[in-house]
Amino acid sequence: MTEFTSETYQNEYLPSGGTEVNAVVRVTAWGSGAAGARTTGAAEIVLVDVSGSMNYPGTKIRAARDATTAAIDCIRDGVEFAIVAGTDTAREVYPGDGRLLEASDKTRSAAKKAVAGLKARGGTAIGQWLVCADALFAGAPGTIHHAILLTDGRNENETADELAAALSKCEGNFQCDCRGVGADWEVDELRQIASTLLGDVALIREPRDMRDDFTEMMERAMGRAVNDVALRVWAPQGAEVAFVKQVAPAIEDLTARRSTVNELTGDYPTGAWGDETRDYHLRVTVPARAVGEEMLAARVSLVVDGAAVSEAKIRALWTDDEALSTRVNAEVVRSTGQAEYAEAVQEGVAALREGDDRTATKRLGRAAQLAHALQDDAKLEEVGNVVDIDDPERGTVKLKGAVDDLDVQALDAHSTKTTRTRKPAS
Amino acid sequence: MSVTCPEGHESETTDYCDRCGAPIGAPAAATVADPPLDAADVDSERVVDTDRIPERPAPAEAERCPRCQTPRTGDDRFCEVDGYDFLVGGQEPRPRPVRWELEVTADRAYYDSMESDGVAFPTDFAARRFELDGDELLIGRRSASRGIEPQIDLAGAPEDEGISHRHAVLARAPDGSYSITDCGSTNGTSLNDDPDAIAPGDAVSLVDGDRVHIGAWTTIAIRALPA
Repeated sequence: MTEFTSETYQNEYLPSGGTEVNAVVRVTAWGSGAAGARTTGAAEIVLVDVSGSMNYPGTKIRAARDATTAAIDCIRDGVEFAIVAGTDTAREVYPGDGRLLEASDKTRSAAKKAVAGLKARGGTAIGQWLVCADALFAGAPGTIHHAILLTDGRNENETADELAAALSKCEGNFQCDCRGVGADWEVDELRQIASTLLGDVALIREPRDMRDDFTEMMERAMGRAVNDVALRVWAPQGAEVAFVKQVAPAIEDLTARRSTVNELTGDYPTGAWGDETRDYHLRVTVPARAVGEEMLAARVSLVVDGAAVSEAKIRALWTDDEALSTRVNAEVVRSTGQAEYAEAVQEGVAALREGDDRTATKRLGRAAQLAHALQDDAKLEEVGNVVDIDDPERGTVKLKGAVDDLDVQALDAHSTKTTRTRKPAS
Repeated sequence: MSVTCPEGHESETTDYCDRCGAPIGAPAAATVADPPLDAADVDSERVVDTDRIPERPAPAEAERCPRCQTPRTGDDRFCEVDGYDFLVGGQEPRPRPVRWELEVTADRAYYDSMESDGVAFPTDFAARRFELDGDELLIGRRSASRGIEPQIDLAGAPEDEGISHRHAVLARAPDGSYSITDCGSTNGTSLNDDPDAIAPGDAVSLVDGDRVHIGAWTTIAIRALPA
């Protein structure tokens, strides 16, 4: 049985008259069992792009077939699954007839045979693929629903409104991890899909990398044991929850997804959980109290089927001791920095694509400075692939003469991925 | 059970008022007196919120843990002595992993990331397993001449010569988990996807599934085994 524990990281001391409380709540789930434990209660759909552009180069469609085959191999016995090929429409490659089939040696091998025959032709209408998956999942109620979406191109045969409509139809029904291949896909588009459907986005640099990535995603999805978990936030009368952001393993602003439980309590969706740790940054503004007084600024619990399974408290204590109230909590600082980094990268990349060199230099300079301050060398390197960093400490950078599109794509796609500081052993 | 907070609200929660957030039952001053942490401390303080609940005498009719008879603290879900779950009832105690295993493999991805000059990736390497037993275990390569006999001995063909004879130490923490400390090895020790080596001499705690990279191509995965 999965257990949840949570911890609060904060400086609970506020100066006299202070009203803003910041905290990071770290939730850990464990005991779901080692990978391999799950055999039933899950449904998996692979949505694979077979639009005409997958033929250029031809290795792309071959790699997509290969990756889908690898994904099929990871589906455990008893998990219900289907394979959908996407173009300007969606085609059920396996098993067909609007249903899912339980995985077994026999069905997996039949599915792989069907995938081997996939040819690339036609356009791209991702919304249609998602709606097709949604209808298939509806045939397996009460199970954990997970999809993998693989594409190489822009959503060309569909308007933004059509995609948004498809997304709102699917929201809450299944989780979807998105993978882009090559440099032609729209990062914002996949980010919008993954964000709405509580999944993640990554660039697959080389078609041959797909197999490993699919295997990993599938294993993670199969490891999830608890469905429909919500983060429940209570804040006292007169207080306001300014934001709720997931900050690890990736940044996801949940503020607007609040559903009201009662006057003082709201739920934020977190999707399904396996054995993992996630961090949430909350900012609550509270009515100030007198020095020496204490207040519970928020109670943050994880809720499964309506019952709280873990609880963390965010407190406020007013003090006139400046040494206490000016202290900053390292986790809060880190979370704030990571969120700002993602923003700086996304604005910088957008400016770069529009040819606004001044904004691009400024924002990517800020991104380099933040990556340096976060001591995140991987991020610093990704920024360094796109601009020449003169002085990371001061954030001075110069645009490069020539930039590899894939580097820009990677910087953008990975901007919301975060790393956690490792706690030293006590 | 409901209580009345200092502001006069009826509250279902007994630690803080479920309406205005005011603490119930203890003056805030008790917690203000906590020693301040060093502002220069870069590691965040860990505030386990249950530590902050003021001690209160249990009311005479307080519910008791059916396993150990300890009175239940407020509406806490778990017994503070043996972790009995008042909500769900008498189930198995939490399954804490008590045994740990290392799996040593030749790791192509790690080897590629290292670009070690002149060291070939082994063509034939069978995974080695070690079950951890002991408070302090040395990882290294045995050397008869220097009298080094690591408990986790990675000598023997195919041998990763990037591993120091005395490379790193695994130490058991009171909770049964292990930490790793690099002993100032020549090529360092890194963890998971972090390209940077851990600082020699600093103990870093390991969790189930962590991967420790040493030498030119060796990856050691640590796994919790069911008790």
